Amino acid sequence: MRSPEFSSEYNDSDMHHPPEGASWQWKKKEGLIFSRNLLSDSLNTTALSSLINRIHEEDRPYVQFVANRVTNGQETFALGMRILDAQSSIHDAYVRGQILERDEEGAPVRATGTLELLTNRAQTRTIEEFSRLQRVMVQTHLGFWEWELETGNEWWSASMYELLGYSPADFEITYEKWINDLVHPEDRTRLTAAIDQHIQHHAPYYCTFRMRCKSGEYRWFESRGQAQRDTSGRAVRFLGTSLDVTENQQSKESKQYQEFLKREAARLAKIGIWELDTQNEQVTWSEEVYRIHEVEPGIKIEYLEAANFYVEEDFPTVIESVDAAVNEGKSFEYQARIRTAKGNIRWVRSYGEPVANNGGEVTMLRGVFQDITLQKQRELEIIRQRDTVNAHNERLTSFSHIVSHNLRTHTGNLEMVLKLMQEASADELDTYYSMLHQISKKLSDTIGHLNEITDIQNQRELQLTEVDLEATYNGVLSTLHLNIQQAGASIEGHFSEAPKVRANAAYLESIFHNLISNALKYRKADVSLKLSVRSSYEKDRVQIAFEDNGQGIDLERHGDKIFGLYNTFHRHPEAKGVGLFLTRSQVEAMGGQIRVESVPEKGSIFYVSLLKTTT
Amino acid sequence: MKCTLCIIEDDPVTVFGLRKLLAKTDYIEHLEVFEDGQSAIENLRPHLEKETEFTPDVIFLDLNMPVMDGWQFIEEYTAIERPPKSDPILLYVVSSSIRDADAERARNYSEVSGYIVKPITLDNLKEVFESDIKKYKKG
Repeated sequence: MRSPEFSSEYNDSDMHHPPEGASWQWKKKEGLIFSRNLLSDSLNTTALSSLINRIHEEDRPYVQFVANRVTNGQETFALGMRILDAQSSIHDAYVRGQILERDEEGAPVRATGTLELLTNRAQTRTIEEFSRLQRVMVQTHLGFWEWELETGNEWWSASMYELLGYSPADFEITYEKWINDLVHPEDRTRLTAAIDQHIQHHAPYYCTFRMRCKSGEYRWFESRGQAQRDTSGRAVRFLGTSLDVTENQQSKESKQYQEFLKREAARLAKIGIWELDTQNEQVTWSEEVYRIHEVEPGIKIEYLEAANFYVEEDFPTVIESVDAAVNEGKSFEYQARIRTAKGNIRWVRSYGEPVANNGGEVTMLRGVFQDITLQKQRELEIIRQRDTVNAHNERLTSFSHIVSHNLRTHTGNLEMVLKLMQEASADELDTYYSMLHQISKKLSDTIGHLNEITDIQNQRELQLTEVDLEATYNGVLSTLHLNIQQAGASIEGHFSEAPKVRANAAYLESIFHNLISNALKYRKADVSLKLSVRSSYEKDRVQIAFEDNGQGIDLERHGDKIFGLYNTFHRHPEAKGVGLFLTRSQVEAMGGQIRVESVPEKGSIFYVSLLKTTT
Repeated sequence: MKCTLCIIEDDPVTVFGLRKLLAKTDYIEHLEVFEDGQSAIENLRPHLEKETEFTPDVIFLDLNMPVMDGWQFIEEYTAIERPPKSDPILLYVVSSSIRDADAERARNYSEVSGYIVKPITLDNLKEVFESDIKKYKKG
């Protein structure tokens, strides 16, 4: 065996003629003489270099290493090697030796020793095991090294070379070459410090560093070793192993990278993970979930505490979802608002699913938790913008309709009448003048409508105040007093339920006026009009309902047009198709909505919903 | 040949002007005026389902009218099944609207022969009663 510890096994009493070997003597002048022929030829030689050629190529570096040691003062040695016979068959041999004499410079002059051929089973097995070990070393990415501290001589196992893509013939390893050429510059300081700690201070030697391969790439090695010390405790030799851990290192790096990605993705997407132990009602939150709640990470949270973060309106949804998951094994997903520890309202999306034990009993809920406040805000903003754009579009369409159609009707008529007048006889002129009069009146009406409409639509900052409904209603009734009397109508107002709205007083009056006069205008001829105006709270709005028993409107036919401009549905001389268009514009300008329910010949209900007062 | 013309129009000034113009020509044998689509379709229906002496040769149809506008009239009109081999009726949309969308929409009905922008002129009438009518009518 070439393992260094064998050298310590050397014993003088072994210096006899071994059964399957020979003893040898070496003198500088006479060369090497064996006590008998081995391997059916003489190994005797005057030139040691010729003997080197008989040693297996792979074993030469170590032989050379031991030889150097001996040259430099070691007195005894023992090592295993493979020797080739004349037919190039390989024989395992074990060589021991002792220096008997040196010259003034310390170089050996005379030596003696033995060479055993390892032929018996046990010996062969040892060798087999060693070569197996050699193979295993390469396969397991393990290399051996040994370092003569005094001289800086170093020896590497063949596997050590192979791990770097070299063969032992490529170079002779020394400490200098190793540290300067092979070790990654960034790792040198760390590595030498680790070695120093071990040699000087007996700290265990363990270091992970990079070495450059023949290909130029760096590979990671995990190195462990132990110094051999003399009786005074001084380190003489340092030996150990290096294991190629590049793949571990890479997978460790990639694992770290994956972790980093996951963490960062969660932070950016504001997604966290939660678990609820249904046995003890204890909740486990990932860091991000704490952050979303604006709670210090790590604080213990119980289920009810967690649920209590939700705002009152959304609390039942959460409890029901969790109950259904625990009791019926249903997974859930909801969007809800929480009030964070700092009092901020946030929109969150929570997904959860039950985890059952072997008995099918739900013992845990697990899920994902995301802060969607920003998305929600954007969503609402987009809806608001879409509505604004739609409203603008509609106004533009109405406007272009008025300009392209209604104004043109009158100018066209004007043109036509004037043309006809040129050829008209004197007695016809009166008719034409009255016609011109009619046209001019219609023209100014249309321009008036145009004005009203653009007025409402250009009102950017409409003044909204608290307006009393009853007062508005009474005011309108008094202006319509005569019409009401004429129609014999009975009109009732009920505003006790929701007495006030947030509105523009002038607009509100105009809306009441329009809807009440419409009811009067389109009442049934044979039945006296009954109209009730009633206010109530509907969610966060005030709704005012105008319910009549008039002619009604066929909504299936006209539904989409009833609030449109210049759409009339009755053959009534005063139906101009402007009133409801204006009413809707005014309602919408105050942030409200208007809709209608109607049955022809039964009556109509107009619903106007407006903002609640803030107090 | 003299024609039966039907005018569907709610604006009295337009109707007045049209009458005056037609008086200068010799195209019309019989003239019928309706103030909205609803009364037009109700009155015309029997003369469309069967060929009678009051079945119109030409219809001038306004778009903006109360109760039933021109578009609704076209929908109802096209749904009526005419007797086989009956003479085609020339339906013109006559409107103040110079919006392309309106003209485009009118032309999409195969039953609509043309789109005339108000005010109607003698040249319009000439084209309808002298040239168009020959293309469509056999006699």
